[in-house]
Amino acid sequence: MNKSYLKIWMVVLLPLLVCGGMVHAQQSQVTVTGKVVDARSHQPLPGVSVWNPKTNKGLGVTDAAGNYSISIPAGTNIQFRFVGYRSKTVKAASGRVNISLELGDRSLKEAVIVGYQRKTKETLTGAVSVIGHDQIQDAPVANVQDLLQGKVAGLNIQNNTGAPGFRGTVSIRGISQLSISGNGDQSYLATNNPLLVIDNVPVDYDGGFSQDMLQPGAATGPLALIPPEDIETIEVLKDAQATSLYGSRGANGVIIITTRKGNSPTPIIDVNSSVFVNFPPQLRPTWGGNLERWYRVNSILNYSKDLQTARNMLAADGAQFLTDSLNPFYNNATDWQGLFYQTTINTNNNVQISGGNPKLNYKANLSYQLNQGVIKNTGFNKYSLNMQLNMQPMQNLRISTQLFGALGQKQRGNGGGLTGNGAGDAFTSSLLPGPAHFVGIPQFEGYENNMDDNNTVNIRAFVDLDYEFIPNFRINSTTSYDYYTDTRDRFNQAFANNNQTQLYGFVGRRDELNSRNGINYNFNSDKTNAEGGHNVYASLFTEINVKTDNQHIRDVRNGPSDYYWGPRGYSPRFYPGNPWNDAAGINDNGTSVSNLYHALSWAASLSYNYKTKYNIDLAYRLDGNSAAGVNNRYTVNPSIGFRWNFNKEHWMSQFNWLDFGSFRLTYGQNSRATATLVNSLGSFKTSTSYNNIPAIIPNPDILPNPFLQPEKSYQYNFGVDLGLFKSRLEIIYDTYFKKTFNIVRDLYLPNVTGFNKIQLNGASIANFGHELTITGRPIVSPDPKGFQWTINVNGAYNRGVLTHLPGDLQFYRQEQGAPTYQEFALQVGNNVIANYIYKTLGIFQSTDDVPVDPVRGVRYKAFRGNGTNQYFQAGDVNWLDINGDYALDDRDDNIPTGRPAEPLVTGGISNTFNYRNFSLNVYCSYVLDRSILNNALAGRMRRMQSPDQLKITGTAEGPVNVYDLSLIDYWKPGSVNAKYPALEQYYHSLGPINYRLDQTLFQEDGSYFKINQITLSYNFRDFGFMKRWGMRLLRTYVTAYNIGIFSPYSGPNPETVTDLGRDDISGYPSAASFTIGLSTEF
Amino acid sequence: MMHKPGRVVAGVSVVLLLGLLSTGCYDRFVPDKKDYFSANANYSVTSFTAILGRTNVFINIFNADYSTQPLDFTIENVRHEDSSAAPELLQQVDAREWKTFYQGNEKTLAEVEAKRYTEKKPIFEIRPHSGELFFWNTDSSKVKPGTYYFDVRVKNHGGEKVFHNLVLSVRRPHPYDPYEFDDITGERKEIKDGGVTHPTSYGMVDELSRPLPADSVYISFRKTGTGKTNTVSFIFLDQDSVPISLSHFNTTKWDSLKYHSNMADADVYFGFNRKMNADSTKVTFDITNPFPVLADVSTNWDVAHIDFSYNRISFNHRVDAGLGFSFSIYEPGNWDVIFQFHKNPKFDDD
Repeated sequence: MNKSYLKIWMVVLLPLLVCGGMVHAQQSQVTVTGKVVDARSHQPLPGVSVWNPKTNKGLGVTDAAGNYSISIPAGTNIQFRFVGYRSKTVKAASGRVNISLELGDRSLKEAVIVGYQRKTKETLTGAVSVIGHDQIQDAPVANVQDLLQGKVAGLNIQNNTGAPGFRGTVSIRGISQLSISGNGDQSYLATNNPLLVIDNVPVDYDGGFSQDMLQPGAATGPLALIPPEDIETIEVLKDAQATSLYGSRGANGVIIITTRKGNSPTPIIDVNSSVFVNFPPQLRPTWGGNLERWYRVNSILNYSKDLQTARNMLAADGAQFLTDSLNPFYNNATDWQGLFYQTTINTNNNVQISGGNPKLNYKANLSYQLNQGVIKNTGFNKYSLNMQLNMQPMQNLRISTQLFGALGQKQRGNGGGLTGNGAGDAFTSSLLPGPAHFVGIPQFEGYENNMDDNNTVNIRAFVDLDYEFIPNFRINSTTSYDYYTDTRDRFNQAFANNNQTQLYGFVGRRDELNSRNGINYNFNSDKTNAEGGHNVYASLFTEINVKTDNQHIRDVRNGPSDYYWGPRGYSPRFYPGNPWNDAAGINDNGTSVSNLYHALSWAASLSYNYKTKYNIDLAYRLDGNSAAGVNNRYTVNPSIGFRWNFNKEHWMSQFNWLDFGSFRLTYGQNSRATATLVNSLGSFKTSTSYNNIPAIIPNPDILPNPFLQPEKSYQYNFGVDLGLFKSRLEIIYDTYFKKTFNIVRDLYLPNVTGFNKIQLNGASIANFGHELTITGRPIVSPDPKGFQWTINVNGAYNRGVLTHLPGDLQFYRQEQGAPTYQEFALQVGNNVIANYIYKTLGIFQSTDDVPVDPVRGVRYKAFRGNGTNQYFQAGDVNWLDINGDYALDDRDDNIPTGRPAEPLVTGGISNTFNYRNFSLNVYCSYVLDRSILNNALAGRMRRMQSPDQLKITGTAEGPVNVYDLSLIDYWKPGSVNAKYPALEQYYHSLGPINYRLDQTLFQEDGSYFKINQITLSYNFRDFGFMKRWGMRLLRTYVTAYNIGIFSPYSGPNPETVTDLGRDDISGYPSAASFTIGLSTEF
Repeated sequence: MMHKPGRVVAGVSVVLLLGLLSTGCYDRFVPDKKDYFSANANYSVTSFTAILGRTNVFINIFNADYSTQPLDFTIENVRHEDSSAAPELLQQVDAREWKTFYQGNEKTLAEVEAKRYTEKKPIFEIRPHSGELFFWNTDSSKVKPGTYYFDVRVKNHGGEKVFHNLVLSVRRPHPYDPYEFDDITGERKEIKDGGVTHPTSYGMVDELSRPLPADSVYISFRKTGTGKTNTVSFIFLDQDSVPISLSHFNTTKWDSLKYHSNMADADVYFGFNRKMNADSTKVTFDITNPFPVLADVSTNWDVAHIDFSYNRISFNHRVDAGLGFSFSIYEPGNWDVIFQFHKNPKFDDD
């Protein structure tokens, strides 16, 4: 018991002793006033509840300056409670009683919401991580998700696009999807999105756009619209017990966001304003001007098939840019990449007004962010308003209402946000003149002048009623409605779009009605202290979910001019009966998506604990939805969890270095609705004619499967929580085994069935691993102004293994073809997804090193069968010939390799240093063991094998430009241990295709260590001007965000690659930003 | 109580150790990486025709359908047409193999021979991981021409499959190609099927200046002996079987005769040690066996080619003319290749 505590007791007890008798006799009312401060920093604490523990009633709360004043019968106990602090109880006596509250075992007494139920962390059986408000401040990002990276062990976030308003990939405890769509750099894995719950309302994580961007849409999800300043906590639910009550949507984990609530008798105005600058990223190394010309001409003259070929190439019209070097038109060194980027100045502003007491509190949060992208003509503006009103009109009735409205405006320029951005396609020869008044460059014009405005309007409202109709029994009803309108208006100028204008319009409307109604029962055998006896909580509820989604597209091409953006309607080009005009099948006019989805669930849960020492949670949920196969409407999601807080055993009391300690063990099952009406019921289509009349026939593409089940997962979790040495060291360890099964795969059918394919449940994936979070306070100064150091390190090891494929297959090859030929392998027992490519063993130093077929007397060659210029020679790549036929062939010699879709280890490190009024936070994240195919490098090198061209199509298609060869260790005669094959000898190289993209030469380790954020802040304290202007808090800060990434990877950034680990040169690079901000509270 | 961190660290490490151990446990719950053996793996060719007297190579014949490589192949149950075992196909013979690759720019026969070595191999052999089949050079004293059957067992750790009743058809030797006699019957082929061999020709005229078609030139091969060195000689006879002097072929670059070897992907010298006899009616080259050296292993993709060209003035035009012939020789020995003109060509200027 420390000294200050004693003093307080003296202060309280002394008057009691003096007038004890009087008190007992009269029970007179006394007025107690005082100030509540933080024991460590001596800062006043507003909003501390003053409580009567006997009657369990609130007496008041402290004001903005931490003062309180209550009237109460003398001698009554008064308890001061505040979230995150140890409660303190004193006896009432008139006069001034100043209280200093100490930080409590924060991580345990904190209330979290799991399964729509508020619990203290010490009674949780599941694996739940909580991120507080202070961990996501000071960095103005366009999407809150960016800030969660590296903060929760097991939550893997890769910010693989820097496009403002877009978001990266997210997965909790590994990937659980197998479906790969798209091709080449535009191949994407189906999303592993967790369920998002904002203020107890389940919302669609993506806001209707899919990661693969193959769907049209404004692509602004809820996480981009919600301002970080308004977030109180973010909880990440990782195991199946924690997520089981979220039923059919919780299989990928759950992220719960709780916004801030008003809790101050005097209104508080919080203003947070910052200015930030976005800086363009590192450009890709390039040779321009004379160096480029030298490379190209040297390659053509010295390494062509013969001199005549070289002469013909140089004499061709297309080679004029090379040969006519004295022509000023071709005498340039244009930095194409630089033309696309810009440095932008942006602002972020947030105002929050809040106030009230537990009986009635309110909050209004207004936010505006201007965030212009580093690529010209891209950016994101967002406006949001969040209003919340909580009422307790009667002791047994609580009502909460909230209205959230937001507008996100996104300019996508010429790209998709994830692909087609930046200089990728326009990154042509530096010898060509840059854009000027007389010279237009189509791709660049596109960037400058094309319009692509995307607006998302989101309105979300909820009403939550909670009524205790008889003691301990409560009825709870929550109804929410979430509505989105997405619009996209795009106009591509003719010059930038193959000489035809394109006017594209998209309107999407989505809404979701969610209603949850239930009854719950709460029993505590010792009402005042949960640690005193039996505690039971039981609930029963039903949940109804109705979603609609309608999307309409109009696509009008070949308009009369760049200045006439119309007519907006159905395109005559695509008029029915004019198939000639739609040879490429690009007609996407019409209603691309229209669906209605119903889900109905019943759930029951029972939690019991004895003295909060032994805890058990049981839950059961039954989910049905309209998309499941008609013969399998309902799925069952049971769960069970135990927790033993062993530090509460009396025999542990001798170990006073142990603050808390517990073991957790859970099991649960979850599901994920993946069935659609089409794959469970089939679809119809119009046939051109049957007996000369148009007919409606079953769509032969897919055979309906009425037995289709939702995809499911079960998970075991074992966890240990330890708090040591008076919260100087906290350790949270979890280990888990999760199996996702029933994954739907296509089964292609023999054509005699008349159908192309059927979808079946059958694949399964196991993810298992370990998560460790260590929070240490190595330097704790007793002086609040002294030096303090807090360090948080977390790491997660997750291994994903494909355990089953339908039909007991061991292997599935996902064919890719041009332009990259980088196939995927799904192999049972291997990483969930692997690349299926050639294995590069090295470079042949001399022709004599090339293996010789002893039977046929010729060297190892590329491709089977006869072909010229395919024998390997010095400077060529030595690929593994697995079957020993002395011919490299796609059919025999590819191997499953790498871990492209998920890293083995992820984590983060955060350091906070406090000294006097200064605070410094350095926060980093890391990834270990992930494979990246460096297509940006490989593609450019491959294209350099066409030295006379400006652009190639087909394999590795794109513009030809010259990499900075001083950075490339490529084979030259006499070189030893070169990493890359010979480069200039383009004619020979094209035979065996040395620079093919589908080889392990370009599969690099994408491990990285990234400095996410460095923030230095200064708290103004006790300045005269603050009092004069009524400021309670004033804080300034500078933040450097996304400033450095350290990696063995040879490209500029191992994070801005696709979710399948392809470094797409057209991806949107991530920008560094620098912020100066001010936050104040009145 | 800060003096017990040791125990804490120990406790924590025990827990972490347990965790790490449990990783091993987890591995037991997931299947091991297994080989995949596709049910659709298949031989795309099931009937193989081998010709005695040369090495026969059957490559690019197995479609593994993405089964996990490497696969193991074994030949089983080699048998005659009447199902009796045919162990003679598996007896060891001298097989000529390559130490290093044939470049085509070798200057002497010895240089080519130095790249080859002899090894004992079973006559009928399968390449262990690719399933390619080889029928080594042998003669009918060891293997009788006829039809044989065999099975191939293919396996990896994921499964195995036996391909039954693959057919090996062994045929009579061709001493040279193009060969005028039928593989099976040994009878001369029909004229239309190549019973007579003709060269290609261009620009040639007869003595009346009429175009001289290639099929008026008959080519025959004649083995004159078996020397230490294998040779090929060319002799041209006119319609009266009188030798024609090779000096008539005045634009033939006798010292740098080359042809393109498809297999070696190079232009290679036509033989070595060119010798012309005194009256220039016969030219002789030392050759490898087979000739060209990759003729058999390239499955006839590699053939030697020689052009005998000349030009003459035809009514004030200089006209190029000549004969070309592509062939290969499998039987060692001294061979004459005789071009018999059935109409005399005109070499003189008009």
